[in-house]
Amino acid sequence: MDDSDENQDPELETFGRLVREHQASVRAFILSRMNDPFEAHDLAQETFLVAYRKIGEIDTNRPIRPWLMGIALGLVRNHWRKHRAQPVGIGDEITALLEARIADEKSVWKEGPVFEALEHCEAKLGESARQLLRLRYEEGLEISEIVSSAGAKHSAITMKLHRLREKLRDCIENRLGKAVAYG
Amino acid sequence: MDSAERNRLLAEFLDGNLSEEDSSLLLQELQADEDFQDGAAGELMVERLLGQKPFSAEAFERQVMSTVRDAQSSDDLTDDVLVNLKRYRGQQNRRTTFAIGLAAAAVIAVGLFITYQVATDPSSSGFPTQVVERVDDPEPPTAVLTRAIDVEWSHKNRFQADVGNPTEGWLNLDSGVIEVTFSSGATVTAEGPGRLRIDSPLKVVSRCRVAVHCPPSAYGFTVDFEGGKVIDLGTEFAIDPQPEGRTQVHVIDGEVIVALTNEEEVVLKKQNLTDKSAVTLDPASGEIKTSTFDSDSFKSLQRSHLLKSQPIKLQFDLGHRAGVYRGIDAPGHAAGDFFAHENHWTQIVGDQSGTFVMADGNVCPHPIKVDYGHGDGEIDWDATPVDPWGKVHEQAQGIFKSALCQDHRPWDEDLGLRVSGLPAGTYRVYALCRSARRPGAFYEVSFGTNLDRQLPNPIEIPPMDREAIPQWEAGVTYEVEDVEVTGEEDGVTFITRYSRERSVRSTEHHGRSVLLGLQIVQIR
Repeated sequence: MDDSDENQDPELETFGRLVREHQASVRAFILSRMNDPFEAHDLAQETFLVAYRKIGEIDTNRPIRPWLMGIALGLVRNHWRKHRAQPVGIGDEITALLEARIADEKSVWKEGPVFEALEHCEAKLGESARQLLRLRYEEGLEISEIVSSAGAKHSAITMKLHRLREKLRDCIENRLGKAVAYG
Repeated sequence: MDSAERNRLLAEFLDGNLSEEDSSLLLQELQADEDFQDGAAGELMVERLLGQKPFSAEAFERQVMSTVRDAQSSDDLTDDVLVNLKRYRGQQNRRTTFAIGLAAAAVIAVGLFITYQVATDPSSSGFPTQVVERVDDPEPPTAVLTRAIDVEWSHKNRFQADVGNPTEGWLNLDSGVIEVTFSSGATVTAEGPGRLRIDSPLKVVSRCRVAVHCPPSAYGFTVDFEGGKVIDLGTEFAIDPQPEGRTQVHVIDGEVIVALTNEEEVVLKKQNLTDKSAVTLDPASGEIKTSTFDSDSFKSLQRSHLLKSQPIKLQFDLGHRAGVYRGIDAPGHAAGDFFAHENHWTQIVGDQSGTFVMADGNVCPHPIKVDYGHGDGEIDWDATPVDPWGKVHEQAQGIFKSALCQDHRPWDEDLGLRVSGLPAGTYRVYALCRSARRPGAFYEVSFGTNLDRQLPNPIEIPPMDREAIPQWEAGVTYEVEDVEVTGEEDGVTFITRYSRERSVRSTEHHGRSVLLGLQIVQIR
């Protein structure tokens, strides 16, 4: 038997299933506390690596997700300690205010199946809307680059993206079971 | 502050363009209104989730497991880790068993429902109701192979026309030209040798010469290649791999962004490129250099050229209703002369001429004339297309019931169809003539050009070996012949006649000549 083959290693396969099952929640949990998409991605990976080494310490009769979130939170705090200066700008204050709101116990955003909901809601958008999101978030184009190619004004693209995010937000919240009316 | 101004502030904040002064205003607004705070928090979260788009769940899992495998080989895992993983495996297996149980219950329930439907559906009382499968999948495939010209596939098995969900692998071409049409509307024409991988409606990975045409619906279409990518901004462009890892990009029309990327597909350098210009991307030197624009070398790959040179494929269904419908269960498909996406049928109710839709849904570039006729011995091509009883079949309800089976054109003597306007070439003609009501019918049929009567030695179609076959069935209900056409005036003709002498009668009434459908494909 070749131990390097995941398919032939039942322990690795079991852990792979745990990753599959919980990765979306862990990533969403970390995203609700971090602005940097790359750091958030790295910390989510780190969460599972720590979990793999420490999985012998837990009571398997209890749900594993809170334990994973605990690891994720510890890693996020460590990251803050090492890399994040105290908020000085007003932008940081706004971010902190909104993150606290997301972390509120009533919030649906913390650790639910948000990626799945996002995928569902994106599929409902029109083709041009999906393309704009793709250029901005998948291809990583700056708004100025989109502006020059689309021939639209900077403010028009900014507001279009805003409206799309609003639409996705409403759709995701509805899908996650919380219909919210914003004034 | 009105909501429009609030929205502007929030939009600019999330895009990272809000001034310090405006940030103060936004903070005040947020602190004063919890609902606005909730909405803004949700939008911030959407922004962050969208920012994770480059990291798919599959890639995330793959990366974690790759690191875990490395750790496993270098770390001494404690027994506790292994014990707990075994416990989790047990839990997972129990959940799987439960899920399979639920699925089995669902299958049984669906089976019962279908049984009930069949038992209670009056149209299922032993009489055929549908021959051609209706195609109305609301989820179109990511991409479809729409042309294959002189192609040699590297695959061992024959390539399937419907690409379906092709993210698993590459289309490997030894030679020839293929055209793939994406659900976004983009078309990619690729020339072998090389390979192509379809990732999404807006993304393809290429390792061969390609020409790409993007309508507005495919704005942002991306072609990844070794060491770089091209992002469409509404255009037509071509990509030509060069020796030593270099790649040339030629913009035929519109504008693109060309980019050099590293192995992780991170953009290292990029620039916009407008029409009638070309560049060479060199990953080794990290440079994007201007090249000589040359559209002629890509002419054979351009969509406009392919549309003119594509083989003609037409499908006619004869019955009592006009229009176009889609179906794929027909002999030409079974024989491989029609691909799954070539599913458009034109219904013929009599003489018709003008512009026809081809099997793939494109408009036929040649005006076509279809003559229906009947007679005793000699066909009268101006005869009125009526049932010998002078009435429309009552069963001809709805176009899908008519498809190649229950609804048809009948006549007591010779019955024919003639199609002219086709360019010179060799055409393979599949003709369906059978009677679902009279499986014992024996037909004599003729194929040719400009025929007015049966050939001296017509082809014989013997009776079906069992009654009331509910669908078209290979080998028992059709004939196929190749017909030479020398020019537009030639009419590809099919004539059929019910044989009173040789048919096996199961009722008092004689059977009739029937025409169900005709599939015509240009093979040379």
